[in-house]
This record gives sequence, C-alpha cells and structure tokens, in this order.
Amino acid sequence: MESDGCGGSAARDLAFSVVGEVLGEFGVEGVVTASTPLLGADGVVDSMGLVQVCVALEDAAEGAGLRFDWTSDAAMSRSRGVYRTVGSLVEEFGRQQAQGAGS
Amino acid sequence: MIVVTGASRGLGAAVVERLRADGEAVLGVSRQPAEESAGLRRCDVSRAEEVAALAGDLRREKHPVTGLVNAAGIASMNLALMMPAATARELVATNLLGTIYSCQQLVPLMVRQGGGAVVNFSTIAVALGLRGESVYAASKAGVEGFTRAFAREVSGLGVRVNCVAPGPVATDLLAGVPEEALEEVIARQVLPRAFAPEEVADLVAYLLSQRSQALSGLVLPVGGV
Repeated sequence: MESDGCGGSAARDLAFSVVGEVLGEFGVEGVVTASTPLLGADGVVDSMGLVQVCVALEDAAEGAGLRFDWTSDAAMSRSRGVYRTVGSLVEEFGRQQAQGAGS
Repeated sequence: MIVVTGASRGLGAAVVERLRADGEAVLGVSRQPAEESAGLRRCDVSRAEEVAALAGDLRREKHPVTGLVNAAGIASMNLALMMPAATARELVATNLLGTIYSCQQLVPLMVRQGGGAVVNFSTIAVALGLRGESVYAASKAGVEGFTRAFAREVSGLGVRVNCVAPGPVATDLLAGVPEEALEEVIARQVLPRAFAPEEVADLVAYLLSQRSQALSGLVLPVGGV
C-alpha cells in the first residue's frame, strides 16, 4: 500500500501516516488517499477496525506529546461524520492539535 | 491488570479481595479511598474527565488492562415522587454514566492487549420492579441495556461484557433498608435468601476468567427471578 499524503501540518502528516499504516495491517490494498472511505458501504474498515485506527492515532498522538479525542456525536454519520473518509479523520486530528485539544 | 471501581467497600472490595486471592493484579478505584497506594487510586467515575485522566495514567504507565469491574454504585431508597432532583441526578451519574465512562475509557486499553472482559453491576430490583427503588432501578436498567448493546459493539475487538444483578447482599448499600422490605425481595427470588459478598465476587471472577469465554451480553440475576 502506498500513501500520497494529505499535506498540511505535521500533525496531519502524522495522522495520515498512522491511518495508512493501520489500514495496511488490515490488508487494505492500493493507494490510500484523503478520499478513501472509512465507514459506510464503501468503507475499507468496519466499526471494529475504526476503533483500532483510533487507538493507533491516540497512541501516536501521545507519543508526540499530543492528545486525540475520538469521541464525536456525528461519528456514524456518512454525510458529516469525521470518520467518513481518511481525509476527514486526518483533518479532525489536525484540527484538534491546532486547537490544543490536549496540550 | 483488572480495574475494579467502587473498590473501597461493599461488593467492589469483595471482588478486589477475591481477585487478589486468585493471584490477579488488581487496581482498585474509589471516589474516597482511605489512602491512595499502588493498588488503590482515587477517581470519581461520575466525572468523565477523572475517568479519562485515570485511563491516560494507565496508558502512559503501560499497564496491561485485561479486565474491568464496574462496581461503583450508590443507592437511595425513596419514592420517586419524594426524591430530590439532585439525588436522582447523582444516582444516574454514578451508576449509569460512571459505568459508561469507565467502559469508554478503559476498554480501549483492553483492545491494546487484544481483548478482555467487563463485568457491570445491576440489581435484582430492575427485574422485580420494587417499590421505593424506581430511580435506583432506572439507573441500573440503563446499565443492563448498555451491557447488552455494548457487548455487541466490542465483541469483534475480543472484549466480552456481562452484567451481574444481585439481590440483597450484606453491604453498606443495604443500610437503612427496612427489614420487611428485604424479606419481601428475598421471598420473590428463585433462591430465597440473602447472599454474601463473596458469592457475588465468585461470579464476577468467573465472568472475568477464560472459563466464561463463551458468555457475553448477559445479565445474570444472583438469586434468580
């Protein structure tokens, strides 16, 4: 699996790298991009896989002295949920770090 | 490591004692511990931020959490019409939200270990619909519903979730409950007697162990209904 990166901050790059790595462990084939769907009919992981992605992101954040809060009222929403695509999740991770979510 | 909330007294303390006797590494959690130690930490489970801080500490200290017993609970025997709103809120916050917060924060630690087991606490009052326990029973009915659904949500992560619903057990929670009320409850159980904390702790130890690996999503009434 290859990653084409999401650009943006170091936090976003970290998140994209972690997500790509975990998806690779799940056997997701091909290029993972920001538009790769996570949840839903076309999603590359189920809700259990998503938890694993979030756990990995939390660990990565902590390793970098950051925090990642993966709770979201819209978690299961396919239209506005932060878990709908790799890009939306990476964006949320970056947004939290920009806001100093857990610093 | 197995985390036990409500560890300072009552069923929580009995569970801690039983698990330690079995050789398990146990971290007790209590809102008001007599003193904090390596095996007992302070945490008010009704406060999400405190549970998150506890989980963060355990994660950073790399404790391999494989079990969680949500024994923290409070009771207030009163007619719903007579119960102050603040008391009702506190019952739900500790009994139901405390269980939810603890699962939210500590089950991910189990996922990192490849799985684990959760035991929640309800009460036989849910099934029996006891007069004077409506709000308490409501908070515990929530725990039962949460147990059944949450068990499905995390089964794919190797985590089992069950719930124990004891009848009268000789703990602090029974203080102030009229003797005739206890006798009425006991008479309605399949096994018409009160139970010792150790008997409930036995069941909890079983549900945490590999011997119960085929069980998840269950609510087990101690004494039978």
